Amino acid sequence: MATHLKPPQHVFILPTPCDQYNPLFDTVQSTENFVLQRTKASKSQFLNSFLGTIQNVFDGKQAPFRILFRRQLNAQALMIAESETQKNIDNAWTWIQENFVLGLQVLDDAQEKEEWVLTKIRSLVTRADKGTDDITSDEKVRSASRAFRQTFNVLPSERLVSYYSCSFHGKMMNQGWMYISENYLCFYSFMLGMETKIFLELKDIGDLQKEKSKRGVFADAIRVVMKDGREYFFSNLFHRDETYDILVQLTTLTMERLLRNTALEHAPGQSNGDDSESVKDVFSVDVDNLDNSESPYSPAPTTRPLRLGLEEQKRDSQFQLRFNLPTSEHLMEESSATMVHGDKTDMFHGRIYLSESFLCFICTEANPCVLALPLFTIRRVERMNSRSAMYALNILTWHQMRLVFRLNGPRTQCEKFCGTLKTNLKLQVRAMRSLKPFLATCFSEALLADRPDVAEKDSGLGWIFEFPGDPKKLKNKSKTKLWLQYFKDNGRNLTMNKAATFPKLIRVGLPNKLRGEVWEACSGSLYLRAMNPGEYAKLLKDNEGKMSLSLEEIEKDLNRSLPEYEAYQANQGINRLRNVLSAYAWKNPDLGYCQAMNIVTSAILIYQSEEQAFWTLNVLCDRLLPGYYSTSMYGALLDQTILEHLLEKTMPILSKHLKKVDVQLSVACLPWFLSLFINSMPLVYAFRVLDCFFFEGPKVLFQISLAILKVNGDELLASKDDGAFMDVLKKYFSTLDESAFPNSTNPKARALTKFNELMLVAYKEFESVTAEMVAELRRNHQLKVVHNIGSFTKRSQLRNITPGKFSKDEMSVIYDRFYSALFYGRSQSGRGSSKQGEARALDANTFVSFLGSIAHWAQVDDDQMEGDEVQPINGSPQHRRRGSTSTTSTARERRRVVGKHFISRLFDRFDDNGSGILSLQEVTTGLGDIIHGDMMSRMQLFFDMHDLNKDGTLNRDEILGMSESLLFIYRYDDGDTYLPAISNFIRNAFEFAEKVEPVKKEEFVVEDEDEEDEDEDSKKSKETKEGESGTEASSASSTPKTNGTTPQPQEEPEIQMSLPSFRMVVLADETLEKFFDSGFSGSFKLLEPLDRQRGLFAREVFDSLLSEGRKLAGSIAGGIQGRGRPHHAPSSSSSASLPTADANKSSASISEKQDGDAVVMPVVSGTPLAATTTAAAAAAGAGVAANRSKESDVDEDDDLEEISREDADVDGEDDDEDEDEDDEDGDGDDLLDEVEKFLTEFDLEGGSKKDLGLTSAAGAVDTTSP
Amino acid sequence: MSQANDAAGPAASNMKPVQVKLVLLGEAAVGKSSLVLRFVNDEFQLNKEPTIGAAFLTQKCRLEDKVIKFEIWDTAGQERFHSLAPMYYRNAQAAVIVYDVTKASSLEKAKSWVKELQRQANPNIVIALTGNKVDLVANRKNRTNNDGEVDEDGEQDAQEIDEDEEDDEDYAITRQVPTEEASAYAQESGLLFFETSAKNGQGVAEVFTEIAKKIPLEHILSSSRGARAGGVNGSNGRVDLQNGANGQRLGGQQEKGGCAC
Repeated sequence: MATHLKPPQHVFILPTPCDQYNPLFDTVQSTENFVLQRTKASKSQFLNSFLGTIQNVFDGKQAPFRILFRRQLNAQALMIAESETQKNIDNAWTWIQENFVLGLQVLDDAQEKEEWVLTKIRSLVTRADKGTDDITSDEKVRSASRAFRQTFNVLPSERLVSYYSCSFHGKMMNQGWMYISENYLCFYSFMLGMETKIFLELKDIGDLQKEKSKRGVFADAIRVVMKDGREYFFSNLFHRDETYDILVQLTTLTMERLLRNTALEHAPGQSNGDDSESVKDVFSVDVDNLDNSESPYSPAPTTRPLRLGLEEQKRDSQFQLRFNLPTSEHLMEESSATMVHGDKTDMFHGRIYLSESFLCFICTEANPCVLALPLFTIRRVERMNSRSAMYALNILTWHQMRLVFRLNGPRTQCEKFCGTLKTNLKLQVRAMRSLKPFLATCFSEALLADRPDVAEKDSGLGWIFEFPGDPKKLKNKSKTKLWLQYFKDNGRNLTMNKAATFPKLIRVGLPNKLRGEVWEACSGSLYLRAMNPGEYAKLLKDNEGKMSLSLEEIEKDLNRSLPEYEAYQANQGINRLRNVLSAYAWKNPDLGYCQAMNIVTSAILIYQSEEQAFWTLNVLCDRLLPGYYSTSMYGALLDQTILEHLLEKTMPILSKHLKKVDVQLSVACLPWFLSLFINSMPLVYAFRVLDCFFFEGPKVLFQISLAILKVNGDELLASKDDGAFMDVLKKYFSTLDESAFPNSTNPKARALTKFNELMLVAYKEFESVTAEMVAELRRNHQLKVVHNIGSFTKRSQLRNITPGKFSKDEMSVIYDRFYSALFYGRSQSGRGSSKQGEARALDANTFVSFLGSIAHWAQVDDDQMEGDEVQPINGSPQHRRRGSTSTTSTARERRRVVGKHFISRLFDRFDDNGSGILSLQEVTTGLGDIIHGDMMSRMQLFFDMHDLNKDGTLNRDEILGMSESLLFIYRYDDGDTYLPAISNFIRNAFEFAEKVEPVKKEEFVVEDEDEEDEDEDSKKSKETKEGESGTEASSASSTPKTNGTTPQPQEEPEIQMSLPSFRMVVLADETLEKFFDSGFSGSFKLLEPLDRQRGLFAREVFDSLLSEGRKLAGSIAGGIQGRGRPHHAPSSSSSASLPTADANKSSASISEKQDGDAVVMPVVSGTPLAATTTAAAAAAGAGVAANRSKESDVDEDDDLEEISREDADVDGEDDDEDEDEDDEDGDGDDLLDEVEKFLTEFDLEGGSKKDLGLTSAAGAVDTTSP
Repeated sequence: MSQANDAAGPAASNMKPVQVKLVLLGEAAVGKSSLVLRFVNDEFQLNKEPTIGAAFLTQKCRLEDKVIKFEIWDTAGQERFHSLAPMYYRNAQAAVIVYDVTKASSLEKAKSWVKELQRQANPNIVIALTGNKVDLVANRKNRTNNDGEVDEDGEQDAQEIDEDEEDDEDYAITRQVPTEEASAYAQESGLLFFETSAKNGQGVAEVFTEIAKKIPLEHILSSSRGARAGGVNGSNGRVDLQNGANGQRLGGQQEKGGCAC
């Protein structure tokens, strides 16, 4: 049913309903089922820009060409393809005609027809655009995403998150669209001919602020401040808060990636010599679920818009935070509900939530309560018939507590809720089995059963070594009694409802033996422990005997953790501490171990068993103190910034004073936060702080810190340097147990200790510091902190780099580009998964993007690199070679291969130690060698890079490879200058190379295998062509296929060019000399910006030029072997058997299109058997290029692209075989004359003045000219 | 040197001490805190809690006719605390960079600290490189090999250790950093060099004395006097913010140092 033609890529879109008779479009062609339309071409410039403006303001950007499918059912239309260029749409149109018309004739039913067409289109699209927004199910996102990617130069895999209409305040107000994608914030507006484009990287955003616009009247603006100080002001945002939230969420994710990006080279907790991958996925949303193996005509499932995923992620994390649930829980159902507790009459009005394994209820009214019930603790659920036909669930928990939830929602919602609950409950049956053994480890159970002892291994060290403080003084007994009653009323451990009295019980301090368990219940670590039975033991067992950096660090500190507590002077305590800390390091190797964790852990181990402490440590590091103990410690630094901010807000005088006397708050406060006051306050008090901290979260740390500063305010105001400041606080902590009001007449007041006073101040005066406030402040300050860490890391890393001759500024640029490449490279490949140890090094793929960011020629457009993997760089040369020479069917692909392999050889050069990755130092040194080396060293570099078999000489293929590399590098330049230069290079290279006996045939055998990779289509067409022209075989060509399949090569002498001859050939040409002298090194732009968008047109020219170049190369080679040992070009004729059919054909196709070429080309093809020099061909090619470039200057027209495409289409598919257009004329003469002149000038025979090596080359010349 | 070690006597306390901000840097568990503890309180704790962030201690001592008040910032050694270090070494007039003679890697870390200080810190900072824990190697009977550094005091101390050795299991640890190597490095980088034992006190006081000698005390004093003369300091008990802000260079710090005495 289909022809062999491949469908055009990136034209088809998922069928989208649209209006067939849109006034902006003209119908160009139409058939029974399809319509091809283009935007109305308007005569007037004004109308054009007006239409553009309208389109921009109302509808995003629309492509000028589109194809519609006429629905016969309801006379509507579905857009199935759109394109920016006529050529692409024409291709698509042709393809449709070829592939669909027949099929549609067979089908009668309109419905069937439509289905058939749509399925086919869908499968095309989903195959081509896998992992991009083009297959998202949301049609609006789809079109916006297309507009976004057409406007901005981003990778196709970049996913659009959201887009908003808004105005940007530049010199004037521009109404346009803001696009927010995974990595970028972009703005585009097109107003009456004025185009405004803004492209910001999220990772460089330093601050986001909500602002008011229009003189502060409307709260609809956002100010974006970049880390380098640039500011952007966007207003008229109708969903300002939503936009802001999305930006904050995305920048947060970006920051996390940034932090990981600059993290330590090796995860400290990673076992030494263990190379397993640790995959952390920030965007664990959906793309990865795409099935890779769908059959060609079964469409891949569409993806959901990224934004939905992000919203869900946010909702889930809020839900988890509110109920202290594990991160594996996702919010599935929610409803407003009323809870009745047991037989009591109290009613709680609130909301009920359901996740995979929890049923949660929260009531925030006068009688607050929070309940998170694990589903496996539910014994029975009954649906009650309640009076008002409402849904009511009667739940009996494991601890025989009866709870009734009345769902107050629409019937369907309630039914859905109950349905999900039922399903989830079933899934939890297995978990119930582990409930009983788990409860045996809970002290509350033992207490209620009136046997207040649990097994030693399930309890804290305090059971054995006594708890700190005097139990009598701590009123341990009466506190225990209170808790006993509370458990009876409100459930215990897993089923405990945190009712109104709960916070009060916490604040007076927990009784010793219950402390560990209540900490667990408060922090949610209880759930983790219950849901992951055995994991702790397994972690220890699996990693037994392994070593890691973290383990070494832990070992150092074991004897230094609460050394005054008796248990830590004995093995028992030390062992427990070691186990817990190492287990955590194994679980989270990226974090590993941070000093201060030992202090915190040793403290909680007094009250908790090993397993309890392990899970509590998890909650502590992951949720309560995020980023505190990470390798960058950004969390701790962030909270210090927030504390400073809060101090400024609440105690401005003190804050001012500290600034005045130049005391940094964090020198005193950082240890408080890191070790949770444990080594600042006497232990008894530190544990009281911990009680509150586990229940109320990190805000407590701020409240208490502020209270400390407040209580000591007067003395601190009197202190004039950090020394005095520290002394005041030290003294204060040592007197916490003293009376706060020793002189008071009131005995109650006298009994109040300084610690009591501190807690009062913390809760009363700093009540306003809420968890939400802390979260908000963290969001607001995180960007700054991360950027500070970034610049610190940068400084200290650069200090350890040997910069060579690079200036400080240049090093800074190299560093930025290096990490930028890493940053984006990582997000792209596997979305965040990276091998450990590569954290600070470029691999082959990221090296490409790094190079592209400093050298224009190394910018390879996305579709060049996408799809096929870059060859493993350290593979055997043979292996690499296979990849490099696999024949490709179009010039475009050929160029891709050339570029890729040039860069990968450069990679190998840079990779000193052969590790397969490049460190910053290697990149610096490598670049330095190129940029600061001399001309000779650069020539040597090129020579070595192309000497693939490392025999010290370049053979035929290697020389051609070199010329291709040169073409690749030059491809954005003006063709006039470089094309003749390169053709001369090839010719001279073959001239001056030494001829050797043809021995090497293995090379070709290897390459022959590659042939199989080739596209079916192109093979076919090749065969056809071969049939047509037939004579091609006689020419020696650069294509392996011809070499391999035709018997001709035995007469072909292999050639060898030595380094000196190479140098001579280069020096013989002004352009090449300039290239090696300054051109190549100058192509690396470190301090000046790269001209990114020279783009499309130049690439097209390159396509055709490269194919020309290959033809040239081939023909020269042919010429040489035909001539035997020619010494002088002008008189020698090239092979007489050169094919001309293709030359004719291609030139004809060109001349049809462009008259300018027609003048030149017939000359070439008109002398079929005459010796036409390559130089002429080159000149012709250059002429084409020049003509084109001139035109392009006038306007970048599609027609140009069309021509070159056409060119490629006709003979491009197999131009590797096209050995044609041989010509020799004056250009060649001139050149060789020049070479001779050069040689005589330097009197090479008598010994070179410039380079001794050249003499041998001269000798070679001598022998060839007897 | 020993008289300088004495805590300032009653006579000295009459004088205005010269304040010297000193920071201790070095790899984790090389004995920074112990060194300070030995210097400040003349005591030694075998299992000293690791420093979180930094600890702050002061010690006055006498050098000739002047009293010096060392304000010592004892920093955390673990690598990830590295980014906090600038907070402590900014404005410091002296730094003691400590390594462990039984651990070669700790000297490498010390070198990178030297590099960082020389680039980022106060340009006139006096840096002392100190190899700690020599008691562990001096304890070996073949210590005649490195006779150069160990004087008679050292010998005595070593014997003392032999006696209270009960908790010191690894007394047979070999030296990994030869004195000559570290000393040569210190010389070429322009650092003071010492080998110490916080455990037995060997060489500890000397570190601080030599630093005190090398710091241009006169300069600090005179600049602080100058500040007083200018009416910046003293009577109102506040540092002139203007001056503090402008004087980021050494002069400014010295003024600040002077004002607080």
